[in-house]
Amino acid sequence: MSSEATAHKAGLAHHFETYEQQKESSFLGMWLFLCQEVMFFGGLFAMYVNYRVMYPDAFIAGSQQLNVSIGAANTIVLLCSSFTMLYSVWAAKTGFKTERFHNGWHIVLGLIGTLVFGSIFLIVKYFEYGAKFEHHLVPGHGFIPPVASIAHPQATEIFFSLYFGMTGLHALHMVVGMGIMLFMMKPALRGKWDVNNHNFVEGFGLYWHFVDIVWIFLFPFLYLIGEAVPKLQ
Amino acid sequence: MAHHASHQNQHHDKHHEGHDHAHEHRLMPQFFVLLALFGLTVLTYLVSLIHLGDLADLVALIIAVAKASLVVLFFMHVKESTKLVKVIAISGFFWVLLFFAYLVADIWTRSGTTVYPGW
Repeated sequence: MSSEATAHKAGLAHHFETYEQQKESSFLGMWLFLCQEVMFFGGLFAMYVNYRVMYPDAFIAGSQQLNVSIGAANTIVLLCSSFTMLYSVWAAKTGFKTERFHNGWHIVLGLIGTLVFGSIFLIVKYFEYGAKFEHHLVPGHGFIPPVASIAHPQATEIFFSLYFGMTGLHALHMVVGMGIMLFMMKPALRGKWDVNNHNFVEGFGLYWHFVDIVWIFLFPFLYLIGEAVPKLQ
Repeated sequence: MAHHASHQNQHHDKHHEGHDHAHEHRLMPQFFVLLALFGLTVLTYLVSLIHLGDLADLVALIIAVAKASLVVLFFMHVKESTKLVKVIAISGFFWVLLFFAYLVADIWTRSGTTVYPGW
């Protein structure tokens, strides 16, 4: 590539010499951002580990109030959204097009799929949150500990603070991601991204997969720990 | 289909004729990774139903790490990335591991921390 004449190349910013250099620069920046996100969520997970060691019984009792089947189903939904995202990235990478639909449509098709699965996830989350409000499990003045027989019934409030804090921040990441996807539709249809430069699409894919990874850890930490032992009363 | 499409789009690039990119740009292997992730999700759910007690956390964590590794390696294309990107990606997870290693070493050995036998 570098041996070619330095004529203007579509999608190549002037301060880069090659598409490869531009791509690596873009991914490097995205990964640095994701490392920051790892530490950001890592802080919350650290808080979880700390209180979990202090009040194991309260965390078990809190976890048993969550619906594991819904959590597992939402995990599957989010994994599906990751796959539709992969379709977008694949379409952009290969320039895939069909007779009736140009490449931009295929990128958009993947984005729409991701938006649909993301919306299903958030709607399920909305009903889950609603049930917690009904059962007085939202931290604050209205909070009523779900079980009384354990050593620290009041510490279940810490579990639910972490539940809302961690899943809320995760959901916020999804909402931001879905907003970005809406703004990606128009440039995609106009053919802004092609085989040589689709770094935005691929970088956004990295972000979406990262959000998936956060949920992969939230699911066992919040939903599954209560399943390991018989139900507390 | 992917193979065919890659060739169509590389015809103008004579230095990259053909073989290298076509292999990376296939969606089918990633579909099998997706199925593996479904399988691991079902597995972690089923394991939780047999009341493993003390071991449950460890098993759930191992499955979660396996799932996250599949996503990082195959969905986030770390395997195909340049060395520089690989180093950055790995360092992020390495630092968070260090973070947790020191945290756990502290709180599990602190005197006065309540320990509940059987949990």
